[in-house]
Amino acid sequence: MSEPAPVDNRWSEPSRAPDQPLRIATAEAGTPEWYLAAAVKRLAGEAGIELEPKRFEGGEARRVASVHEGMAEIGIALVETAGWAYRAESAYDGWRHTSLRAIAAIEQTQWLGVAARWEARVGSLEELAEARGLRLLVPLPGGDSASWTFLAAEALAAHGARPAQLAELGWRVEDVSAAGRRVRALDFDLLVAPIGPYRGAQARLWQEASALASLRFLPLSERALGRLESEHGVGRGSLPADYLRGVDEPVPTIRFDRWLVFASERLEDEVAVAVARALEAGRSRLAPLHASLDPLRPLDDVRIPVHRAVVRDRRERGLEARDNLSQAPA
Amino acid sequence: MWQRFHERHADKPGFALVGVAIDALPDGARAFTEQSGCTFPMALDSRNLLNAVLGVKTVTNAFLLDEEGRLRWQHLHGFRVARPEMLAMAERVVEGDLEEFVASPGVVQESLEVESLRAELADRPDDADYVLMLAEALGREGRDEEALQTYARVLELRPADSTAHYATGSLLLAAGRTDDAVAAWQRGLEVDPMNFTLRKQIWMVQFPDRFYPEIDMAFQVEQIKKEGFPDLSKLPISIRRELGDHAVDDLAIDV
Repeated sequence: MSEPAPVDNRWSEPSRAPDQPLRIATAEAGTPEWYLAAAVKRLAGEAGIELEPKRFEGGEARRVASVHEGMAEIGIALVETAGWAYRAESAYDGWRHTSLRAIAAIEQTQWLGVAARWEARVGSLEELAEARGLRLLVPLPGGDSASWTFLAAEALAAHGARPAQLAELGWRVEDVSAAGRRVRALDFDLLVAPIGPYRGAQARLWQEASALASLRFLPLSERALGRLESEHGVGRGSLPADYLRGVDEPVPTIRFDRWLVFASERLEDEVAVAVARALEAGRSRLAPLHASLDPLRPLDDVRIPVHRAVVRDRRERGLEARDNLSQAPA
Repeated sequence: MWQRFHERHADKPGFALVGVAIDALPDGARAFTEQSGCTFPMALDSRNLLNAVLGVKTVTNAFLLDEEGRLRWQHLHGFRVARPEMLAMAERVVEGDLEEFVASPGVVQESLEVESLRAELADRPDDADYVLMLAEALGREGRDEEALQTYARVLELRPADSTAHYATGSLLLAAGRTDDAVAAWQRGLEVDPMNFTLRKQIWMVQFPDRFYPEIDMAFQVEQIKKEGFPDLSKLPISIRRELGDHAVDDLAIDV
């Protein structure tokens, strides 16, 4: 299958002037994207590739679009997010980003956490639609992550209770950006947010919530997990027992394993190869410190094409490398 | 179980088992160690540095370091040597079979974090959230004096930040400045009187025998009655129940 023509080809040439630094789209400090962008900047810098962190208003969707549109050269997103953006699916329905190309993947597990305070008397997600007047913290449109907003809404919808429906039932529904102060004041009943092994503000949120409040972690139903898997390609997993206070046994939920470092197809070949090789060389430094990086076999099943120069470079080194061009959207 | 594991491998050349107790106060760890009868060395991680460095959030965990101190194998969260499959895994690792390595992703380099946060703060020096993150990062690296100064800056920007008050007290306690630690937590309580966690830190320092070797819940209830608490709903369920708060009578949880 041939590579699809971009829907929008206004940026068919690199938008960066030769004397401008390369830009890596980054997020707010303390988020996993921020840590990963810092790591990529460090490793690339040591290889002689200077990356300038660039923050964009508009959250994850804007960061992804910035690479597609030539406002940044390197981006980081969940593998699933990049696939959705490339194919205009799920959280990116109707918004195609056909210029995205994979450079490398970094393993870092994340789960969707759903927990209710015991005082809320919610024993399962199926009970939400019957509850009244509770206080929900959940990623909402306009927040940082289009993907987590979409996933949280779909997960709740699979149990009959989208955030908007809960608001109609008298719930106070707020974006997770308000979660820090709400959690510290124990002014919440249900928390729906990503749980990851990163540090910073998001890690503190779950640590504080589980330490300050008695939480009951609610599993996603088998039906919901099946729906998210079949309709959106989201993997299933379990929040491990003892991962946080209150997680007494594995809690079935959705799980993400990898972040994708990506560029646009316009990124110069030598830069793409240099960044990919820098990450590959840095694997030994990152892996023992938790962020497991294995660029030798990460890209076969990502749902966007691999940058042509990265494919060529691997093949020249005798490594197996698929280009994933068959992933082109219809 | 770890004691038996230690005894089985004690004579193995180049192998040593070291336990790490994550406990705020040495007495608690000491009491546990004595009661358990273990004969292998037990270190104390009173500031939960394992969380900072290796992503440890709960016990129990297992790590294998080589002779140069490099992490070669780890299993985070829920490694229980009492389970046959995990015991078998530990035995294989000790024998040099590292295939079971479980990469537990979490954090990147500490210095990378501090470096990046400082760069961020250059553009927004008065952003309390960022200053707080820097203080936490410095604390994780063991740069206590810098962390204390940075927490102080957080409190200049946001006097009611209970996280900063809590951390300031913890750092001062770790430095042996017990009175200053209590004073820091009390300042935190002045601006956040419903912060039970801060209150409990003070009790733990002033009445350590009420927390180790066993937690005396009745003591905490009496303290609450004595000191007063503006909003009982902010207390742990178990204490609310002891205080006769019937709103939680039917909750099955016992914490």
